[in-house]
Amino acid sequence: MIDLVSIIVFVVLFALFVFLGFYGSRWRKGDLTKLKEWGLAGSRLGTFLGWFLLGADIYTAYTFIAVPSSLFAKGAIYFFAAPYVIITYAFAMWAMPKFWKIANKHGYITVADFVRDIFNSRLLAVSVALVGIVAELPYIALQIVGMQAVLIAMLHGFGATTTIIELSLIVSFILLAAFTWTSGLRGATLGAILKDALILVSVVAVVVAVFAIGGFQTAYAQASATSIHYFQLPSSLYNAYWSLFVFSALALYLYPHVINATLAQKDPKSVRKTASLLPLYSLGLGLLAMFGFMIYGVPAAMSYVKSFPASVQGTQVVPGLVLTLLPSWLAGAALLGVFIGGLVPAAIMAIAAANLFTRNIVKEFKPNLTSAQETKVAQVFAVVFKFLALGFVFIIPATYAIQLQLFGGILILQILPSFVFGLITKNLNRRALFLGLLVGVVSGMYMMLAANNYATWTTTLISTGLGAVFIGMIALVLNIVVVLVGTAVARSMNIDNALPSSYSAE
Amino acid sequence: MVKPVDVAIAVLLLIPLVALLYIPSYNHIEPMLFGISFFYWYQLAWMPLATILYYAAALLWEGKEKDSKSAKSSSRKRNKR
Repeated sequence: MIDLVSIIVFVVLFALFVFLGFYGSRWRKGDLTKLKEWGLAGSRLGTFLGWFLLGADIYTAYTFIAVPSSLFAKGAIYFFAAPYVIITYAFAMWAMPKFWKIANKHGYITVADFVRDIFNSRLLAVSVALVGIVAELPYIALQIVGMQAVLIAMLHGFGATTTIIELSLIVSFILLAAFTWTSGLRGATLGAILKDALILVSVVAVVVAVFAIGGFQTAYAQASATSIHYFQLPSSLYNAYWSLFVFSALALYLYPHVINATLAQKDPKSVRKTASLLPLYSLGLGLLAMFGFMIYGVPAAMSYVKSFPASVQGTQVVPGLVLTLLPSWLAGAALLGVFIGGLVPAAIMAIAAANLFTRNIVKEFKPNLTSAQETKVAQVFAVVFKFLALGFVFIIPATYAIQLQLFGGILILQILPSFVFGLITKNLNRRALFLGLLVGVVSGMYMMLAANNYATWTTTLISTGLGAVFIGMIALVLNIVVVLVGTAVARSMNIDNALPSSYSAE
Repeated sequence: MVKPVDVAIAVLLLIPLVALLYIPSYNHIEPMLFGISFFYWYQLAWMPLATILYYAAALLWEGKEKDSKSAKSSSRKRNKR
C-alpha cells in the first residue's frame, strides 16, 4: 500500500518542517535566552497566528488518531469530542481575557504564579504547578502514540518489527528535542501552519473520495450490522456523553500549554477573538472523528486495519483511509501531517511543563537563578518530560489512546477551583483549596484504577446511580465541596483568614 | 449593575451549550444527510453556527469595553474641571 512516492514526499516535507523549526528561531527575532521569549514567543502573536498556535493545541494526535480510533472501537459516545471543541471556547472567551490582563499586569507567565499571589500560598502554587506538569505527561504520551501509528503505517509491508518502530521513535524524539531546544514556541508555530495545511487538504480529499464511491451508504449498512452503537447514543450513555464533553471543555484551558498559547497573544482582544473563531476549526475534528465509521464503507481500508492486532487497530483507521483512498504523493503528505501533528504539540506541551517546573518549582527553592540559567533549566526539562511521558504509553493500549488525554483531564480539572474561582474571588481559604486539590487528585486516580479493575486503562467512565459518568466530573465535585466546606469552617472558626496584601486584580 | 449588553453576550455564549446539552433533541438517525445520521451532522452544523454567535459576542464585548473606557476617561476630565 505504501509506495516509494509516499515515502519520498514524507521525507522531503519532514526536511522542510525541520528547516521551518530552525528558521523559527530567527523569525521575529527576540532574545531567546529569556524564558518569556523562548516560551511565549515574546507575547506578540495577533488573532491570526494565535489561531494557528491554539489550533495546534487541538489539532494533535488526539484529533488525528485518538478520537477516530475510539469512535471506531466504541461508537458514537466518543463523538463527545465535537461538542467539547465547541463549548470550550465560550468558557475561554470569558476566563482567558481576564487572566491575560492580570498576568500582563503582574508579569505572570503561569497559573501557579497567579495562584501564589492571590491566595498568598507557596504550597498551593507548587501543588498547582505539579498537577499541571503531571497532567501534561499522558497528553504528551498520546502524541507519541500518534507518531507511532504513522510509523507503523509507513513501515507496514517492509517486514515492520517493533524494533524498527522504536528506533524511528527515538530518531524523531532526538529531532524534536533539538527542534524544541533551539527555537522554542516560535518554531512550533511555523510547524503548526504547515501541518494544518497538509491535514486540511487530506481530510477533505478523503471525505470527497468516500462520498464519490458511495461509501457513506455502505458504511451505514455495514456498521449498523455490528453490535456497536455507531449512529446514535444508547440512552444509557446520555450522562456519560454530556459529562465527557462539558468537563473536557472546562479542562482544555487549564492545561499549561494552552495557557502558554493564550499568553503568547498580543492583547486580551485577540485572545477573545481567536477563541470565538476556533469552533470553525473544529470542523476538521468532527470529520476526522467520523472516519471511525466511514472506514466501514471502504473495504480495502477495513481489511488493512483488521490486519493489525486489536490493541492498535483503531490507530490505523486514519492512516488506512488515507493510504487506500488518496494518490501516493498526497498520502505521504497526509501521513507527515499526522506525524508532525503529534510532534509539534508534544514540543508545545513539553515547553509548557518545563516553564512551569522552572518558574514555580525550581525557582521556589533556588530564587537566585539568572534569566539565562532559568532558560537553560527549562530547556533541559523540556527534554526530560518528553522521555517521562513515554512511560504512559505502556499503561494504555494504543486503540484507547483517548484515555490518556481524559486522564490528563481528570488531573488538570483539579486546579479549577484555585485558578478559575481565583479569577472571581480571593475569599477562599488557601488550606481548603489545597485539601480540595488533594482530594480531587487522589479520588480521581483511585476511581481510574477501580473503573479499570486495576488492569490496563480502557475507560475513564465509572458507573454510578446516574449510569456511567466521566470520573473527572466526580473528582472535581468532591474537590469543590471540600473547598467550600473548608472555607466556611475556617471562616466560622476564624483561622487563617489573612488575605494577601500586595495583590490587586485590576 | 447588569446591562442589556451583558445579557446579550451571556445568551450568545450559552445558546450552543444548551442546544448540545439537550441530547434527546438530536440523538436520532433520521433525517440523514448524504448517508450520515442526524446525530453527527447536527453537531457538525453547530460548529459554524457557534462561530457566528461567539464572534458576535466578541464584537459586543469589544464595544462594551471601549464604551466603559471612554466613559472612565471623560469622567476623569470632568473631575479635573
